[in-house]
Amino acid sequence: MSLSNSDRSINNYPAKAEIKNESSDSDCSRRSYRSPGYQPAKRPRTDRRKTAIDRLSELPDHVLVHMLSLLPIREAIQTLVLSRRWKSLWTYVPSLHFRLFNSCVSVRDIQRFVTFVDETLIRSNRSKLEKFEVLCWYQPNFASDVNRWTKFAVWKGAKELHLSLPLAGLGSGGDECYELPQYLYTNSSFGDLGFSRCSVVPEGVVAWKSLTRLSIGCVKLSEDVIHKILAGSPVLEILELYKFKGFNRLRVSNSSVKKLILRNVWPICTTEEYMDSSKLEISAPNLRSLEITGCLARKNCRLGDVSLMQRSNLT
Amino acid sequence: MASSIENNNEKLTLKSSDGEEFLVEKHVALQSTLLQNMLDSDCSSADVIPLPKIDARTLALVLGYCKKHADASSSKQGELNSFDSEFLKDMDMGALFNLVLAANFMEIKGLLDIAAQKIADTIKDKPHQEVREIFHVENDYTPEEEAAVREENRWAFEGFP
Repeated sequence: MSLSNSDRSINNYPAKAEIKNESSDSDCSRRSYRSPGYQPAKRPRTDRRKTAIDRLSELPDHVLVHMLSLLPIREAIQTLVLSRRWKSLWTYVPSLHFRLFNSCVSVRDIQRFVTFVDETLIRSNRSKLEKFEVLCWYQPNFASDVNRWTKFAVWKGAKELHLSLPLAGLGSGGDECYELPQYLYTNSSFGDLGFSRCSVVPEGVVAWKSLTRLSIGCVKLSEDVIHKILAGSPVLEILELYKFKGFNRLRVSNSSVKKLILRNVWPICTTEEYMDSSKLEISAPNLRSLEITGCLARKNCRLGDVSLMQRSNLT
Repeated sequence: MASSIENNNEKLTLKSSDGEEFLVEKHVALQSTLLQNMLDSDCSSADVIPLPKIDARTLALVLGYCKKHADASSSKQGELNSFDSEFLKDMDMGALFNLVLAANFMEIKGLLDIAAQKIADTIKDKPHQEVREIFHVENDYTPEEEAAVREENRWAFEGFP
């Protein structure tokens, strides 16, 4: 069963103005939620609550939107039924986190999740996004959906992008995981990126001019890819790699990188992988802090030039 | 940290909406972006700064928060976190909303964050009718409108785990 919605092009997500500091009752011209009989002047009142003041709804829009961004996204959206005041407040939430992480999900659940994400993005009125996160089970036929969402994040200038896409189903090989689209490798809005179970293979150069924090895990990486990433991230400060395989040497020559975190090597299945991950040589002359945790012990880890290091945490 | 506080004896006076005056150390006042901007411009520390929208009870709470955060060194983040979680505990809704408005007006981001979180925690996992009752939100949709709004946004109410 295909989970893609090819008719929903990214271009269908409308560009909208930024939040205004006024009642949100008038800003849903793009898509009317009003029933045909809607009459704004006619407000039915319930007498018993006339005396109690609704101080929550009286808060300024940006305070309420901030509060909504602290709720799980679905709960934030569902506040639209509270009253007219709340109808479109949620559409200005600056951080969008979508998570489908129950251990037992059906194809129908995933379809509903895809619909949910799409419907949310279609209605988002934010011109700039702070964070965009998708954590869900992944199937190869799900790629066009994730591509559509990452395009949306790029289009909205998201500063943080986090994708965690473990493969759904047993016995899935590592080669079927989500391949990061090439347009993600050149982006100057990204300040914080996290990719888990995503294939990271830039064909051309990487240009992450504003990136200060990068976390990549559950993936095979090559020395060449790491080199490209480091060469294209001039202000990177924190680099975290976890459950990784595919390289024996890690050279971090960027003067900006202060902290390196290495967690848990990839679980070893074959002799070849054992040989592949039997050693790790780290060289990072400008590093201030190194954290190695978990079962990296399998690796014969050798520290090369780490002359500036002030703090190490090896557990 | 302590020495810089002792050396910095500069104080300013804040006046609440109900006329009470608070003498505040400058480094404490600087937790507020509004006051910081005022001090950066031309306001002399001898002046009384009126805060016409904030009553004395709320201002005392706000300044207690600011003092704790201004005096704590960055290494005591854990201590600050537990202070923050205790700070709003058992606070009634009226006081909480006064605090939110004060934090918003005085531009104290950390305080606004924890107060907004407290409201979000109060809403979380509750049926809409209960949320309406807690906060006295008047449902001004007609039954037909509410049904239409729910129908149009059915995708947001359909479950996935």
